[in-house]
Amino acid sequence: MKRKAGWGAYPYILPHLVFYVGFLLVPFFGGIYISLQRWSIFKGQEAFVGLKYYLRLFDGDFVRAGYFWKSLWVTAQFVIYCVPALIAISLALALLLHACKNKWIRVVGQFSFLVPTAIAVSVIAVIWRWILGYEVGIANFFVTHLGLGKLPWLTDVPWAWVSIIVPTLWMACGWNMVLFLVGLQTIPESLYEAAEVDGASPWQRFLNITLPGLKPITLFVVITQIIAAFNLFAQPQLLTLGGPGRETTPVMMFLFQEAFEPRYPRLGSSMAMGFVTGAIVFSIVYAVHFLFSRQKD
Amino acid sequence: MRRTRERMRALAIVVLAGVFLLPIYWMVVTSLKSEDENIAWPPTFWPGECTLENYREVVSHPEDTPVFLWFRNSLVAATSYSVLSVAIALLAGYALARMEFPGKRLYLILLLVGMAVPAIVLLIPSFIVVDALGWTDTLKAIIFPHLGNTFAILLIAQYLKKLPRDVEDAARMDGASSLKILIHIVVPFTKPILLTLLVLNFMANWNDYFWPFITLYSPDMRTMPVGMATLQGRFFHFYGSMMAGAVLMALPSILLFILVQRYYIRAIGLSGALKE
Repeated sequence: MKRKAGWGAYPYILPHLVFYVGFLLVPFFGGIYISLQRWSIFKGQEAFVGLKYYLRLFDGDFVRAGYFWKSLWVTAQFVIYCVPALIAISLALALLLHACKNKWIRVVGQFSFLVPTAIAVSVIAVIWRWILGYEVGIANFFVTHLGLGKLPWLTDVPWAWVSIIVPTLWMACGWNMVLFLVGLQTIPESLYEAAEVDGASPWQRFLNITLPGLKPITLFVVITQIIAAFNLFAQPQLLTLGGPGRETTPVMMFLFQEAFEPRYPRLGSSMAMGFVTGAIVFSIVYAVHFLFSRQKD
Repeated sequence: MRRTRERMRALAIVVLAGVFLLPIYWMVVTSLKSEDENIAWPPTFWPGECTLENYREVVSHPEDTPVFLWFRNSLVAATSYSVLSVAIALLAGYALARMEFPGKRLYLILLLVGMAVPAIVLLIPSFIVVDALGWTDTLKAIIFPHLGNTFAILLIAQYLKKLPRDVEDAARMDGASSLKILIHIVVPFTKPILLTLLVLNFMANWNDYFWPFITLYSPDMRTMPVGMATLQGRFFHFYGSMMAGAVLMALPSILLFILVQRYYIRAIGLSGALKE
C-alpha cells in the first residue's frame, strides 16, 4: 500500500530540492544568461552582448576561437587515444582475474590494480612528472638502456600524449576492471558449458558469449569514460602544462584560462564555450547510445 | 594443458600487479633518498642511505605548505559531504519510493535531467553562485554544491522499491510516523547501500581536484589534492621533498582504501547499476 502523503512528502525532498535548485537549475539557466553578458569576476556583470560570444566562435579571424576549437580537438584526441586503450586493458585485466582460480593471487591482483584509483589525480600527476622527467627520470633510464636517447616525455609531441595517457590509464583501469568483473559474473556459466559441449574454441566462446554478455556494461563504461575524458584537466595542467604550445591544452584548461585570466577574466565568453562543448558532449553520448542499441543482432 | 594455462594466468597477474605498484614504490623510495642521490645518474633503486629529511622539509613550512591543515580540511569536507549527501538522498529516495505527492512526476523528470547535464556547463555559474554566497575560500564551497546531485536518490529509490514493505506497513498500522519508520525500519534494511554510497561520496570528495582548485585559494584553506599542486610549485626541482609530500597525501587515501576495500569495490559496481 502506497500512502497518499500529499504535501507531507515535501519535508523529505525539500533538503535535496534546495541544493538542486541552487546548484543545478540556477547555474544552468544563470549560465545561459551569463553567456550573453560581458562578465568579470571582479566587476560582475558589465554589459549585455547578446549572441556575440557564440557567433564569434565561428569567426575564422578571431584568434581565441581558434584556440577554443584547437582545445576541443585536443580533448577529442584524448578521447580517441584513451578510451579504447582503457577499455581493452580493463577488460583484459577483468578476464584474467575472472579466470584465475587461486583466491590469493586474485586478491593481490585486484588490490594492486585498484590502489591507484584511490589516489587523487594531482598526486598521480606529480608522481608521473618525476618518473617522466627528462634529466633524471626513471623512464628515461629504461629508455637509454634500450639503446635509445633520452626522450622529451613532457615537452614534445607525441611523447607529451604518452605522459598524459599512461598515468590516466594507470589511475582509471582498476575502476573499469571492477565494472567488467561485475558484468562477467552476470553471464551464466551454463552458456560456456553448453558451448564447450558443442566444441566451440575458447576464442569462439569469447566472441559469441562473453562479448555480447558484456555489452550493457561496455556501453556504460564507454559513456562514462567519454564524459570523464572531456573533463580532462589535472594531467596536462600538472604534467605537460598544456604544451608544447597548445598541443595538449584540453577544453577544460582553455575554459579555465578564458574565465580566470588574471588581467581580463571573461566569464561570459568562457560560459558560451562551455555550452557549445556541453552540446557536443551531449550529442556524442547520444550518438554512442544510439549506435550501441541499434546493432542488436 | 589446463594447469599450464592456469599457471600462466597467475604469473601474468603477479607481474602486472608488480607493474601497477611500481610507481608507488618509486614514490616511496624517492622520498627516502637524499636530494643529491635523487638527481644522481644512473638512478639507484634502493636508497643508499635512508633519510627522513625530505619529510621534515615538507612539514616545516606551515606558512605556504601547511600539510596537516590540508589533511584536516580534506577530512572535514569529505566527512561532512558524504554524511550530508547520503542523509539527503535517503530522505528524498524514501519519499520517492514510498509516498505519492503532487509534482512527483516533475520531480522525477528533474532528477533524470540532473544526471544528463554535462558538468562543464555548470562549473562557472556554480562558481558565481558560490562567490555570491560568500563561500569561496571556505570549506562550504566544497561541501554544499554537490549535494544537489541526483544519482544517489534514484539508486536508493530503486533499491527501496525492491524491498518488501510488510514490516513498514505493520508499523504504520501500529501508528508509527513516517520518520520513525524511516529511522527504525528502513535504515537498518538499507544499511549496505547507505554505507557503500558513503564510501563512494567520501572518496569522490576527498580526491576532487578541479572544483576545490578554483574555489579555494589561500594556502590554509586548501584540501590535499590542491595542496599537492601547491607542493609541486614550492619544491619544483626538489624531487625528494615532492615525493615525501606525495606520500603524505597518498597514504591516507591508500589506508582508507584498504580499510573499506569491500565497500569500495561494491561502490564501483553500484555506480554501474543505474545503466538503462
